[in-house]
Amino acid sequence: MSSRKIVVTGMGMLSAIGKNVEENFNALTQSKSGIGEIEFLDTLHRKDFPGGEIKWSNVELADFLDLPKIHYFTRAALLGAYAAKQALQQANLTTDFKQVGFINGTSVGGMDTTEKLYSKFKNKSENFPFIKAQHPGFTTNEIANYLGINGTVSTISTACSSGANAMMMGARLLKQNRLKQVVVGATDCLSKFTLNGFHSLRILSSELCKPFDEYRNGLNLGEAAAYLVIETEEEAQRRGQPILAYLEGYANANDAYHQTASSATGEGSFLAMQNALQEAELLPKQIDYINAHGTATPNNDLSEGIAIQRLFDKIPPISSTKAFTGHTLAAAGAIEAVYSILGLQHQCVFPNLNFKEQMADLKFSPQTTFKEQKVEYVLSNSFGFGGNCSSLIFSKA
Amino acid sequence: MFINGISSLNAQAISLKQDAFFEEIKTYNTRNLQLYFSDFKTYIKPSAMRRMSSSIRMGVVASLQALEDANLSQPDAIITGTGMGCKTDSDVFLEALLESDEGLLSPTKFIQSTHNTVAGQIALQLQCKAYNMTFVQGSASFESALLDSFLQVASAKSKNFLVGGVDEISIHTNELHVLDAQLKEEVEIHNLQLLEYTTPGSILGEGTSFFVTSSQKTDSSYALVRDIQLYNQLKEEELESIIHSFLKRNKITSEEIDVIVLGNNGDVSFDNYYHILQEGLLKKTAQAYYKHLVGEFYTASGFGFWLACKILKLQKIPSVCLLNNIQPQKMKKILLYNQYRGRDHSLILLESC
Repeated sequence: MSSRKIVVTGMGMLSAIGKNVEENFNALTQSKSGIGEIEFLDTLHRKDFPGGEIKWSNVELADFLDLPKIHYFTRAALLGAYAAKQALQQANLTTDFKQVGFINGTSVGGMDTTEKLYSKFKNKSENFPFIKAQHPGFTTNEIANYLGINGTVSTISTACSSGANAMMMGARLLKQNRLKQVVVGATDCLSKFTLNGFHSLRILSSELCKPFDEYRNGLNLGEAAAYLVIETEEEAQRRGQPILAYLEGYANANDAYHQTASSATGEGSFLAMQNALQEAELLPKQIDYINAHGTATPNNDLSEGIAIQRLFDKIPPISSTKAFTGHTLAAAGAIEAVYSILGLQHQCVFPNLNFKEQMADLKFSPQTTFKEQKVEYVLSNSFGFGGNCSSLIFSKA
Repeated sequence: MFINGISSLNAQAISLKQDAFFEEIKTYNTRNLQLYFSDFKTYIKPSAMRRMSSSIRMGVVASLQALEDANLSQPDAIITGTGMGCKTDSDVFLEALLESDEGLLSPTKFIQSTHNTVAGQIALQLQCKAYNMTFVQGSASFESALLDSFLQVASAKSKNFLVGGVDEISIHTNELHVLDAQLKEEVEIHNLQLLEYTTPGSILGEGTSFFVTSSQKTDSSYALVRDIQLYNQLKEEELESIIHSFLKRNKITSEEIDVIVLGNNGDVSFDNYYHILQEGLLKKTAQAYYKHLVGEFYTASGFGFWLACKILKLQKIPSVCLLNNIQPQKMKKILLYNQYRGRDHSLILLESC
C-alpha cells in the first residue's frame, strides 16, 4: 500500500507577496519582496522590525469570506479559510466532503485574539467564545466549519515545520486508504506574542533579511496561509483531475541538541533530507533545486548550509524565499511547498534576495536571480524549535 | 498495533505494579485536580529539572516509565498530543509582554511556549533523533498522536513508537474557563459524585499518559489497537449510526463489545452524547468512565486509554469507574468514545492480545 503515489491537485495561498498562487508566482519572478513596515499589527515595534504583513484587515478578510457579522474567526483562521478555499476550488472539490480530511498546521493559532482580549475577557461576555481560541485546534475548527469538512480533522504544531509536517500526516492517511483527499497546509498570523518572543531571542533583523549572507543578522517575521489538496494518483486519474505535482518523499527528524538552537553539524536537517531522499528513492544529485529553510539567522543558515554540504557533493541551485515573505512560521513549510511546485510547473528556480557575500564557513552561494532551467525534483526544507526538522521532495507532473 | 508499555500521571495515585490500577483512590473536594505524582527526582537530574516546566517534567517521567514498562531504552519515534501545550509558560510570557507594554523580556518562557516543547525535550533527554511530532487538536490531540503511530505501524515493521498526551493546569486559564462555563461554577466539587451535579461545565485536571506502540507483540503487550477514528463534528442523532459504521468497518457487532469507556465529565450541556450510548446502543454493555478521577483536560482521554489497556490486562474494571452494574466475566473488546463540548469526537477499538 505504501507504493501509492501521492499527488497534488489543488493549491491556494495568501502571503505578503500575493493573495493567490498566481500573484505569488509573479512577485517571485520579478524579485518583488513583500516585506516592509508593519501597519496592521498593533505593536510598538512597527518602526523597529520590518515584516511580511498581508495588507488586509480582519474586517476586509471576513468580508471576502462572506462571514456573518458576528463570527469567531481568529486572523489565522481568516487567512487559512481564504487560502484553503482556493485549493479546494482548483481541485474541483466543492460539494461532497465526506471522504475529505483536513490536517492544519499552526504555531500560535488564535494568539492574536488571546493577546488582544487576555485581560479584557472578564468585562465582555461577547468575547467569551474567544476564550477557547487559546488552543490551536479552535482556529482549525473554524476553518473546517467554513470548508464543510467535519470528519478527520487535526492540527500539527511543531513550530516552524508545522506546515511540512501536516503534509506528511495527510500523505499517510491517503496511503493507508483512510480518505480520498486531504487538505494539508498551515496558517499563522503576525502577533505581538511571536514578534516580542523572537525579539527576546535577539534574532529579529531591523533590516531586510539576508539569507545565507556572511553578514546576515536575523529574520523578518511574516504571515501567510497555504494549503494543498493531496490525493492518490489513482484517485486523481479516476476523477480526471489534472495533477500539479507528485509528493515523492518526506521525512522528519530531530536535532536533539537544544530547544531553539540548531547543532553545528546540522544533524537533524541532515537526517531529514537524507531520509526524505531515501523514501523517494532518489540520489542527492537528482535534486535540481533546494528551497531552503534559510531564515537568515546566523545559526540556522550555518547549520542548514553545513548539512546540505554534508549530503550534496555537487550543490544544486539553492534559495531561501524568506526575503520575499518573511518567516511565516508554521505556514513557511506550506507556502514553500507551493513555491517548490511552481518551480516544477514553470521549470524555474527563484532568487534568494538581499544576498551579497558568501558565508566564510560555507562553500556555496545561493541562487540570486530568477532563472528558467530544467527542474525534475525539488527539495523543500522546514525546521522548527524543539529540534524539529522536516524535508519534502516534490517531482514534476 | 500493539500497546507494549504504558504510563499515566494525574491526580490519582497510579500504581506502578503490574497487577493493580491505583495505590489508593484519591478524592477531592475542589474543581482543580492537580497532579498527585511528585517523585520527579528519581527520573530527572536536579540540574535538568530546574529548567523544566510542569508539562515537561510530567512528560519526561511518563515517557521514561512507558519505555521501562516496554523494556526499551530508545524509541523509533516520539509523537505527542497536547491541547494547550506548556500553557503556564505561555501565559507568563504573555502577561509579562502585556504588563511591560512590549518591553524587554527574557526569552526563557517564550522558548518553552511552543506546543512541541515536551516532545522536543523528551528527544533531548533520550538523545533521540528520530521522527518527532506534536498534535494540538483539542480533545482529539492524544487520539491524533495515536492515529499517527497507527498509520506508521502499518508500514513499519519492528519499530517502537513512544506516543503520549500531556496537559497542565494554568491558573489564569482556569479563571477564564469559569467565564465561558468550561469549569463548573461550584467551588467545592466532590469528584466522585461528579455526574450528580446538574450544572454546566466540568472539573479541571492535568496529567500525562504515554505508551509504547509497535507492530510486534511482546510478552508485556497489553492490548491491540484495531482502529481509531476522529470526527471533528457530530450531531447527537448521528452518533449511533457513526458507531455502527465504525464497528462494521471492523467486522464486529455492538454485542461483541465487552466494555465501553466513556468520557463523561459531568457537563449537563454535553454529556448527552454519552447518555445516548448508555441508554441506547450499548445499554447492555459494561460501561466505565474516568474523568471524575482525574478531571477534564484536553488529553484526559489518554488516561481513559491507559485504563482500558489495564482492564484488558487485569480482566477487571475498577469499581470506582463503573457506570452501570455489569461486570463481564471475560473482556476481549473495548470501545472508547470521547468528545469535548460536542467537538473533536473519537472512537478507539481495543482488543486483548
